[in-house]
Parts: sequence; structure tokens; C-alpha cells
Amino acid sequence: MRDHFRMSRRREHSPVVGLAVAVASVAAITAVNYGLRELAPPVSTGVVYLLAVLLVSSYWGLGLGLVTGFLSAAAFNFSHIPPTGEFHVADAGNWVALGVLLIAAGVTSTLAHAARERAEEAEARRREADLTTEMARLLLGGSSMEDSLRAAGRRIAAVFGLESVTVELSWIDSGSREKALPLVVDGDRIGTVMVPKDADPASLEAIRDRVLPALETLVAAARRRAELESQVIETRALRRSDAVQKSLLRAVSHDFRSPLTAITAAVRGLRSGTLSDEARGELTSIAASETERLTRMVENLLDLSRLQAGGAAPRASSCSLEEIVRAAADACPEPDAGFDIAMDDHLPALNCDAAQLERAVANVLENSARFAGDRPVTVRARAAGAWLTLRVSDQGPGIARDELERIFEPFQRSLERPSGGSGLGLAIARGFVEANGGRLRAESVPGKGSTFVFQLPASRDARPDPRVPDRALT
Amino acid sequence: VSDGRRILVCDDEPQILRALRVILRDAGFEVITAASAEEALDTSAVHPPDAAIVDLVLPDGDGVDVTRSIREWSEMPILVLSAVGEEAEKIRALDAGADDYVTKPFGPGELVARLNAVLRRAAGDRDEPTIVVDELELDLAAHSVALAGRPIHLTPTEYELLRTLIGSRGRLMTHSTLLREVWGPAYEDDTPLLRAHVANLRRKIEPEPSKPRYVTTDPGIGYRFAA
Repeated sequence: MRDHFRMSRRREHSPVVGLAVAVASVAAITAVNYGLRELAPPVSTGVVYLLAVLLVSSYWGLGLGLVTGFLSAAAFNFSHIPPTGEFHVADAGNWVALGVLLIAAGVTSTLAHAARERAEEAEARRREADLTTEMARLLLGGSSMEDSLRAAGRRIAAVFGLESVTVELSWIDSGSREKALPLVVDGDRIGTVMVPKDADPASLEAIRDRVLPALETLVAAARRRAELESQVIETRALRRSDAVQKSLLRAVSHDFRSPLTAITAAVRGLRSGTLSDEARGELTSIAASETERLTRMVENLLDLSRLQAGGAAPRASSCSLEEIVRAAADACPEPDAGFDIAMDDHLPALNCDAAQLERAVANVLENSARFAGDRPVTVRARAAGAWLTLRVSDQGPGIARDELERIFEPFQRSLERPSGGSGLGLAIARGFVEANGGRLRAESVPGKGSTFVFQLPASRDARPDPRVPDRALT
Repeated sequence: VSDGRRILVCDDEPQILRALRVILRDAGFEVITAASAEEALDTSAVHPPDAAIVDLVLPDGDGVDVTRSIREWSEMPILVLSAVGEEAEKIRALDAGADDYVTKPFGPGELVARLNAVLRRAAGDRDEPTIVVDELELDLAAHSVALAGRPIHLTPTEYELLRTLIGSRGRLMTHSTLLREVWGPAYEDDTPLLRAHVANLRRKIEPEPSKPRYVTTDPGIGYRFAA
């Protein structure tokens, strides 16, 4: 790593420039010293040359630093030591001065060089740490392992100035232009790092000795994280299906018990010999209506499981919405104030599974009837473009805003108003409507009532024909 | 027993209410119905019934609250209707003062029998000096117990336990109620202690301790003295 960075430094500071700087700075100092020769004793101005030595050895290394030292000594001798103007030393004392200058230049050069080495090493460590951080961010950041490794390869290539570095999750052999370095995690070779064969040996060594171990550790951590994540997801899914099963059990045990209780009481009550005819008729009708209710509950459960298993493929055919609504209203218990059904004439035909749609509408009617109190449930239908809109409204307690969607989830009975429903009807209704290409949503003004809005696709080849009243179909 | 007694039935399922009305009338009771906790409390305050049958799950509260409210002013027998798996709720209702529970679905025979049992308990004279149940005789003044005429020696704790059970005969008493009344509030959760003493009591008073006739068990809930 250190070598690598030193090499890259040399590329930045060419020796030719270094030599030029050495000559220029020595010349400049000589000129300045020449100007100062009247003010300062010549021997003392020799110290100024150390600035040039310091500059050159800091940027171009020990060699050029020493060269600068010799140049300085020569220039000092030529310009300041008598006899000036020639490379000759007359006074033995001046030899000492020259020698001191040379030694000081050598020491300065060495010290500057060492300081530069340390700075470079620190810089190399910093960039190495940056690379590791970057790789950690990539590998632990959450995107796929392949993508992260590809990006990590690009980062390694950029840091070492290589043409390309690729990380593959497979076992690849060295090629003619690339060298393969194995990536080993937890004792298994899980992949290969491909580096250009013509990369400088220092970079190769740095990648193999420093970068790869970090990458391996990170891949191991990323794999463990992925494992844990999948375990968490699995646990969540299990918990969810567990919750559904519990809800199902609760629905079966609680909701089925009410009709069962009424049936058991009625049927066993019928055994009494003292019952009047009227009482006998009452118990019989209770048993009959509750048996029907149980049957509907069982059908709902079967519908739901079919919908959840995706086994409710609609058998579409042209059908009349009005017929579907009338049949659905007949199939469910009427609210106290009845159903108020009014449909536009000339409604276009639907293209859907009439049986499924009837169950959907019946479930919504049954739900609305349960909350209608003593007000009627109104049913309105009209055509708008390619859609038929059916609105089923009650004037019951309404639905809180945050429950408008939740009521369509299985077993989400309203907490504030347990209703005696199975908690399945609306889920099934939406399931069937959507299976037939339609939409079902709820609107409500709490305290004023709720409206269920069906949007159903009109049959394409059954555009409204103004000459034929829709009634003719029924 | 049941002639002309007025029973309040509270359940939010209209069909269950209908069936119970027919069945209880057939058994000779007069029936008033309520579909919610509020209605039950209003109705029972205006025309106090002789007993109440209350569903544990009501649209505007639960049977426990209804039981507690009624107990504030009345000792009328209360039966709660519950479902399998509502053990904790049953215990809460019994601790709040309910006399017994009936598990859904139930037959009319069972319901009427339980209802008659709690009505008998309510009719019993609390101040009678001697209580006789079949061959068992408890002399409250002399603190003595006899079975088929032969005196039985009970420890003070066993005597207290029997007296408590017999005093509410027909009523299902939860473990914690019995522990609180016989041992004190600090012992409320010590079911093994109760179980051990019930076993000892049965060995002494039951003709066949393995098939108890006087002190019967409701597993997980409590004990009752057969009425």
C-alpha cells in the first residue's frame, strides 16, 4: 500500500520538474544572498539554502534533496566564499562552513523525506479505511449481494487506479489478461476477485493482503444478515398465518355457536310434551332459520378458502344486474324496514359470473340489513360509461374512517358494534367483485350511515339499447 | 317450584331469546327479555325478576358488568351463558356474584334444572340452625356434622369449608371465592391448599369419595355443594 502510494506520488511530481525546481530555487537563494552580502556575513547566509533542500526533498524525495544540497554547496562556494566567482576555497575555515552546510542539507533532506513517508503512510491508511467503509456500506446496505459486490469491485479499481476489478460469486480461473484471487468465507470459496494481470505488484499485494480479507469479513456479515432477515420474514409469515388460523378458530367456535345454541335449544325444547302448537311452530321456525344461517356461514368459509386459494375463477356470461340484485335480496334476511330497490331503466348487461356476484351483493345486503335498525336499506344502480355503479346504503351507525378498508379483511368485525356477522361476508364480497373485474368500497358518514359502492364492468357487446327497456330482460 | 317466577333473559342473539322464551314459558316461568346490558339493567330495576339469565358477551358490555350491577342492589340468582374457552370470563362472572353458568349450546332440560337449583338456593332459609341434605346433617349452633346419624369429626378448617359450601348450596363457588372466605384474602391464589382440604372433606363426608355426591367439582373453576 505504502509503495503503491509512493509510486503514484512520483507520477504526480516528476524528477525533471524536481531538478528544475532545485536549480531554480538554489539560483534564487543565491541571488537573494548576493543582495544581502553587505548586511550579513556570508557564512551565515548559507543557512538559507536549507529552505531549498527542505522544499525539494519534501516533494521529490531524498535523492533530489541531496542533489539540491550539493548544488547549494557549489553555489555558496561560487558566490559567497572567497575567492568568489570560482569553485575554490582559500580559507580553511570556509571549508568547515561548506562542510556544515552539506551535512545540514543531508540531515534536512533525510528528515523531510521521513516526514513525507509518514504522511503518505497515514494517507494510505485513510484511503484504505475509506475503501473498507465504502464496501461495508455497499454490502450491508441492503441491496442484492451481486449488485453490492459489483459496486465494491468498481470502488477497488478506482482506489488503486486499475482498469477493472470484478467480484464474481463463482469459481473463475485466471485468464490471459486477468488474475483470479479466491474469495473465501467461513472456509468456503464463495467467489473470485478478478484483477488485471498488468497491475503493479504493489497494488496486487495490497489487494490480496488487505482489501480481500476485509471484503471476506463483510461478505460473511452480509450473508449472516441475509439469513437472519429471511428468518424474520419467515417468522412473520408464520405468525400471520397463525393469526388467521386463530381468527378462523374463533370465528368457528364463537359465530357457529350462536345458531347452534338456538338450534339445540329449539330442537330439544320440541321434545317437551306440554308445548302449545304455537310454541311448537315457533321453535320449528327458529331451528329452520338458524340452520339456514349456519349453512350460509359454512358457504362463506368455503368461498373464502376458495378465494384465498385462487380457485374461484369466474364463469362469465352476459347477465342482468337487476336480476342479480333481486335474487340476492330474496336470499338474505330482510331488514325490519325492508329493502328499497330502484334501478335505472336501460342498464347495460354485465359480463360476469352471476352466481359469484349474487353472493357478493347478498353479503353486502346482509351486512347493511344488520346495521340498518328501523330504517330501510336502499339499493340504487346506474350506468356511467363502461361501468355500472351499484350503491347499497343504510342509515345505521356508520363506519369510522380508519375502519373503511379494514372491514374488508377477513374476521375484522367492528370492535364497537359486534354484529352477529361472521366477519367474512365483506371479505368474500370484495373477493368475488374483484375476481369479476370490478371494485367494491365503503363510504360512510359516522352517525349517518354507510354506503357500499360496487363498480362493475359493463358487457362490451351489450351497450344500452334505448329501444329495448331493460325490464324486458327480467 | 317455578310457577309464576319471573325470569329475565339477556342475550343479543334474537333467535336464542326467542327459543328461551318458548322453553322457559313451557317450564312454567314468566319471561322478560333484554337484548343489551343497558336494557337488562333497566328492565330488572323496573320489574325486579326472580332470577336472571345473562349472556357473557353483550353488544354494550359483558355479563360480568351486568352481574356486578345487579349485585349492588339484589341477591337474585344469576345464571350466565358462556362458551367453551371463556373460562376466565366465567370465573370473573362467578366472582362478581353469578351463581352458576351454563355452557352454549345447552339443552332446555339442563338450563331449567340449573335455574331451579339456584332458585331453591335463594329460597332456602339462611338462619336455619340445622341444614339437612340427604344423609348429611350440619348443626350450625353446635358446630357438629353427622352422616347418616353418625357424628363425623372435622377439623375447624374443614368445618368452615363445608359450612361455606352448604351455605351457598347449588351455587358454583370459584376457587378464589372459597379461599377468600375460608382462609382469607391472602390465600386467594392457593388452589392446591383448597384442593387438599376438599379431598380430606370428601373422604369424611362422601359415601364414595371418588364419585362425590355432595361436593362436586367444576374443573378449573371451583366447587359447589349439590342442592
